[in-house]
Amino acid sequence: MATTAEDLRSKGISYQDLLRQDAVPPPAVLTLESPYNQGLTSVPVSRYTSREFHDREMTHVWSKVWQMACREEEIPKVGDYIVYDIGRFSILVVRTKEGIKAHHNVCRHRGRRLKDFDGHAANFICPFHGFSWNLDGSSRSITSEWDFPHVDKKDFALTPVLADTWGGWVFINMDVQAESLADFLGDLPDHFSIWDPESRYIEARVGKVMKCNWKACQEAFMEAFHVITTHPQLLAGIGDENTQYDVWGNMSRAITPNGTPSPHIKWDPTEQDLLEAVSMHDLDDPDMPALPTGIRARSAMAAGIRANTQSVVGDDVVLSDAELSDSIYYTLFPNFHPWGGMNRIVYRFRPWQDRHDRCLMETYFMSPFTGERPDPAPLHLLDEDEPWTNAPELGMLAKVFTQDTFNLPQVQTGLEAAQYDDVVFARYQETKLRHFHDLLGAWVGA
Amino acid sequence: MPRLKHPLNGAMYTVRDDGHVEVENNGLKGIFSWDGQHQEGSLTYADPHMLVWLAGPQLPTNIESARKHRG
Repeated sequence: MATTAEDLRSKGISYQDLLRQDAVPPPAVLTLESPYNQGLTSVPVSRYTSREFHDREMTHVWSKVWQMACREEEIPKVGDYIVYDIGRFSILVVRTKEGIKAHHNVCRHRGRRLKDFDGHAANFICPFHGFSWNLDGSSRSITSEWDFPHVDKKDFALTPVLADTWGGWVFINMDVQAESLADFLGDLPDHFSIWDPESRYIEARVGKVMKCNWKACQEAFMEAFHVITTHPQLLAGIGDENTQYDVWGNMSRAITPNGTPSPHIKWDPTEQDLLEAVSMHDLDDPDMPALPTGIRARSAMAAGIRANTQSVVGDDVVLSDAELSDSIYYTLFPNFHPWGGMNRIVYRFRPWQDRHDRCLMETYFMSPFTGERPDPAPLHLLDEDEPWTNAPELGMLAKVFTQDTFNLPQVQTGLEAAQYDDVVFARYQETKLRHFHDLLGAWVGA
Repeated sequence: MPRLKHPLNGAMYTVRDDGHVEVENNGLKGIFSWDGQHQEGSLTYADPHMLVWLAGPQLPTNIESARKHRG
């Protein structure tokens, strides 16, 4: 029997049909659809468990792909630098008079890391023998230069790394022959142009070491398929199975509608029930104000957020119900996850140190502001045994993450013990995972 | 104490003073620790993620009551 477009989606209302009912209609970018009907539906378990595969990722992906290193606001002055570690590699990202540059964080003499922490410097001096380099990476001084007649200073620069920016984010690429960042980003800047990511600041930044492979971790944040089991308390007010999944180039997107019931529940919640569900209202909490007759929960949610948001972004910006209510989560290969609309979330996942079975999950809250740009929040790092709730700046998201963290170490443990060959993905609801692994396979040559 | 009705099966989850969770479903009752271990009672299964949500690591009370951080 032939497969129709309808067969590829949940039987619940489509996201586009839901948008057509909204009081304040969405921007054009949210009406785009680009389903991904090709590609793999399973990957070897070893992608998550094998040291050999981790090493291939280091060699063929991380050392060659554009990846987010920091925000421009984290290095505002000439001489400000950050140390960006990815697996066995370490990169210095520094603001110079000529703009943002990046170099391998390795002394050209005997290999010591030049900097151990983020900071500010007039130049980079190796703590071992004192060789130094200018901010632009050129050699500044060679200790006992008389003893190095065989070294030409002009050929003794720090190993260069490409650096470029988009939306206030700094990206680096260790492959100096790589395509431009603009080419790699593809349609991403167009999608985000109305949300002006450059004009946000880091209100909060929390990282936690997770006891799992970086892909297992990020994949839990690339689909709404797990909501039915992992976040059951949300089901009355979230259209988990109505999520729309799209793919463009190196980018994928999911949009999960809020203020609409899950197709999985077998009762008919009122609009009041929906509003209470999205507000995470406990039965013992004081009653919420009753919704006026004819007002939908989505519109009421949006109106509540709109009033506060409008005062920051300006009254001339049209804020649709969808941009204020829905979870709009993009992924740029391999590990950058900016959320669209008025959502503040940006995720980044990467191997922790050089381990295949640990990763660092970071959550940024990128918020709009008025007046002078506030200072960016520093990283609040949680170790692998600390609960997310030790970071109250994440609000209720910390509790949601606690549920995900209840699964993820057990996913890794299970995969390590698995007596089968392949992890199997859903055709539609795991679109983003399939797309990611198609790209990953192409990069590593698998 | 925090109380929630499971949206899928209607079971009632109530956090007790001792930090465990009492679950009632179809006339059966059980007591569970926050990480899903059955403590006592004729109801022997509960949704582990409801237990984590209600009785797992919690935010400071003032943050919990604000409830306004959403993604």
